[in-house]
Amino acid sequence: MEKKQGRVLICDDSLLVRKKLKDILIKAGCEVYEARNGKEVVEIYQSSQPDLVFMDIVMPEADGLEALKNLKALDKNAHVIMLSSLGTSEKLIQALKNGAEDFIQKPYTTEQIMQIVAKIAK
Amino acid sequence: MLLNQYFGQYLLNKQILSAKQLREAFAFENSAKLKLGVLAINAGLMNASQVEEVHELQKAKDKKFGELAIEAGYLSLAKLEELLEVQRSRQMSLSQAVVDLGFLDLAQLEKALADYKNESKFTNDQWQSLRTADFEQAAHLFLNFSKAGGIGEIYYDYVGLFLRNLNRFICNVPVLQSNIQLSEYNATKWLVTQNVVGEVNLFTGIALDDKVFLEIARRYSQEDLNEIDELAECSVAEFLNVVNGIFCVNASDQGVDLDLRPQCTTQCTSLALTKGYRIPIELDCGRLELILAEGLE
Repeated sequence: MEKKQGRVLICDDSLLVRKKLKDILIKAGCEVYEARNGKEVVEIYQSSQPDLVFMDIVMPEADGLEALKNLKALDKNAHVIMLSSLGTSEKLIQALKNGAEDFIQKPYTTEQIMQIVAKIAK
Repeated sequence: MLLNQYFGQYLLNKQILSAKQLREAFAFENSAKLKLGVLAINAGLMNASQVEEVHELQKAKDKKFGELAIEAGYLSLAKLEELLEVQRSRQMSLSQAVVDLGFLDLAQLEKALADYKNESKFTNDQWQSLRTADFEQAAHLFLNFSKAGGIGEIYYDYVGLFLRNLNRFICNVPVLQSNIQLSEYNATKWLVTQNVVGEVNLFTGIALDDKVFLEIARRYSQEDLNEIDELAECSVAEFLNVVNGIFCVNASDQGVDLDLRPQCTTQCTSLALTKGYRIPIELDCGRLELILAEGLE
């Protein structure tokens, strides 16, 4: 696998989701940063300047849709992929309206993640 | 086949088998069950990489192997039906397993089966349909939410979905026990909960002891977990979150807008909710209780 596919920030309150995703991304050669909620992700985004953010929706503190809005206000070119169990049409529309580039419903496959990483790496 | 599950449930309810014996019998039966993918390879209908691809898709989609293989264009409906028939005909029955394991002799088995047929009062059509019935039907047949009012139908749907996902991620044969009206509830063990909010407010919870908690965490996460730490807690909570996510998506498809609150994992908690039910479910690794209630905690 080609090294340094880019910097990726994972925002999810679940340690399991962060760990599993991190394992895939590191194997793909990405540099990985983690945030545990919608507030933390804004701070870590500023310090890590990632190429891509995977964002959960249902989280304590600030939820993922709120955090998405805040990230886009901070950097209108931020690439954010929603990764959530809550893939209802309402959330999907709201996420796209708020500037998300894609929406993956949990549980995801490794292939889905790799496709997104490959697209951003181009 | 669901007939095994129903008959197993009967043996348990009648105390003909203990929960431990039933778990062993299901594990034994399952070890002899032929996977559809293997049958498809044997029949020359699919190759190994196609089967692997469908298994991978199953991780992401709430669908059966056969449905996905048809969608991918690997099997026709007619070929799938042929494979399912082969699978049914070769599958070891629970009856065979309990005899082989020495839990019942043939005479005891014959009597238990005859009693079950009499007491279940299934019509011939129902009896026949047990071979192909699904978890949603099992929820309707074994649970009674008639006192729950309008939310009763939602409970049936939820239990069917929950069983399907237990079957998908945790355990091949989850066995339902009769539901119990919720009164004052003091969890003496782990309680993982999540509120579903919106047009319907639904409290969902899983109560389980240390052993079952750790085993579910291991199976869902596919991580080598040895103690109940943060990763194990997140694993069980994420399982509930995924089930609830699918529940919300299904509701959204029917025009009902629902949202989820973050999950919560606690020990020895008291619940103030009384309008709801405890639904015991036997797994091959022990028992859990699904808790469903109207309102929010």
